[in-house]
Amino acid sequence: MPSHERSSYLPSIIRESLRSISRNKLIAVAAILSIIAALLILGLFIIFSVNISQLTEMAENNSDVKIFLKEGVTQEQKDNFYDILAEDPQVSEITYESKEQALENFSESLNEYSELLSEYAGQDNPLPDSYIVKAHNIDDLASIRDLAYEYPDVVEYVRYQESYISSITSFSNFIYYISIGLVVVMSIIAFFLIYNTIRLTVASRDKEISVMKSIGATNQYIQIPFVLEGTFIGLISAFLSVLLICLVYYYVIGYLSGSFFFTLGSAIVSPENIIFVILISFILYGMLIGSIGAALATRKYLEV
Amino acid sequence: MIEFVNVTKSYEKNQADALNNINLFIDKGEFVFIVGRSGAGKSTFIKLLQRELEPTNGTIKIKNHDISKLKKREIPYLRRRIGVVYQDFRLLENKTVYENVAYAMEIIGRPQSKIRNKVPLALEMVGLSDKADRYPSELSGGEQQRVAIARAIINNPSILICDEPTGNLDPETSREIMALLDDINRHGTTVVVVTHDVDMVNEMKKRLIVLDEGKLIADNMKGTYDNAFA
Ligand SMILES: Nc1ncnc2c1ncn2[C@@H]1O[C@H](COP(=O)(O)OP(=O)(O)O)[C@@H](O)[C@H]1O
Ligand SMILES: [Mg+2]
Repeated sequence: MPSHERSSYLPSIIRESLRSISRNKLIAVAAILSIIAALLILGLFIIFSVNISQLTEMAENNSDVKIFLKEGVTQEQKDNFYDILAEDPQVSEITYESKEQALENFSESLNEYSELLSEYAGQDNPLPDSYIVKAHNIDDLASIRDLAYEYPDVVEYVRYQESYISSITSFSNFIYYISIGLVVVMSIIAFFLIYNTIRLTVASRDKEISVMKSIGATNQYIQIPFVLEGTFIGLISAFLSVLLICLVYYYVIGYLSGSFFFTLGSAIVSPENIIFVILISFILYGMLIGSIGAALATRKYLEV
Repeated sequence: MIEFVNVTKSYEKNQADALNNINLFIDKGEFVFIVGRSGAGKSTFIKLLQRELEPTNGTIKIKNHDISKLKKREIPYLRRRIGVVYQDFRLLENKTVYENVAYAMEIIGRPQSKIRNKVPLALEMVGLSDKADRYPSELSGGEQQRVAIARAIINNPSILICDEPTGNLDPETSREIMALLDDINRHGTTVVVVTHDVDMVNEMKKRLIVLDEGKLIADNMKGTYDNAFA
């Protein structure tokens, strides 16, 4: 009696799937490339939107109006003005910066040139006192500015940066729709390429399928290896895409942090925080598109 | 075991019926030859039994169950009870003899332990114990057909159907294959053999059903082809 060191069924269908992928190399490669294209767009979009939302949040936290007070305003006037600001429901935070503090902050920001300012210390300090006011909602900063200008005997000038948040938001919406559109288009292409890859495989195993059917294999059973093959193609594409995304991301970070966009660079979400999300979503996407494409391709063929 | 009642099958409307108003009954444990010229409707008959096709009219019963009432997902279970052997063997070239036979058990989900027990027995029955690790391309036609027979009976079907099983074999090998089928029949399996092989039919003296242009024109017990038309 010859010995039968038999591999179990699962490894043998995995082997068979790999074999048939290599048999239909060209179209399988096309399928893989198109999934990668879809995933790269999706990945760049995820990175982009996570960073944009981080950037927006940072910008929101740092947005304020700085109300410079007139020289010689009394403490009582300051307190009254403070109360007016504090009563405004839009205001979330008020910080008083005395002229001494302002000078100190300014000289700190100058680092090694700070002694240039030393002669201004004491009576000659040209910097005014100020209130730094933050709002619950950054859109309200403008109306806080207008409120401050209603008190010209106290207020010298209000420094208000036109918010760049809303332009970020509308830009990211634009990118969002473009990306979704591209991902959908690429997914459709990827789907049809997978569908055709599997159809070719099914056709090349025509004889085996008819044997399986005449022996009484269920359709689901016959579908398993083909669906696995599609899933494989999806998985291979997902892993390659994650790799590419990582490379791109590290490259971009390296570039940004080495450049004078340093502040922007520090706003970028570190890859470790995103890559997990990308990995999971890519794997899910790859497996779904691969298995569904394959299941539909075989189902049509098995109808008898 | 197998019952055809007024079965008609036409593939296309403006074409003659492939089978026309067939009535027949095959009992459990019978050995039946079905003969007829090319195009007589023999393969159509087999496809109807497997529910690869549905009759245009009439009913087909297997073990008293009307198989046209089967739902799609039940068809595989019908096929598990009907072993089929083809003229061209239909073995999988990339699998060994053992694997080809084991495959039939694997795809219906039998456990490996059962498979390891049963496959050697089936190979022994068809006389191929020593060729278990060969590939089909390394076997003669007769040996390949034995593998196909082993695969067809491995799941203990109650019916074994053979579509021209000796069509590609020389007379001596054909005789051996027929003897094997006879042996399987003696173990209780109902055997239906579609064939062109008149000499073989005459030699075996089994029940003989003759089809011609889709019609059943003779059905003789212990028939020979010569007196079938008498
Ligand atoms: N799929 C099909 N479509 C149309 N006609 C067919 C088909 N299969 C068989 N036929 C016709 O049905 C008749 C019986 O065919 P078949 O059962 O294969 O005969 P046999 O097996 O006895 O040679 C023939 O006339 C054949 O041309
Ligand atoms: Mg035929």
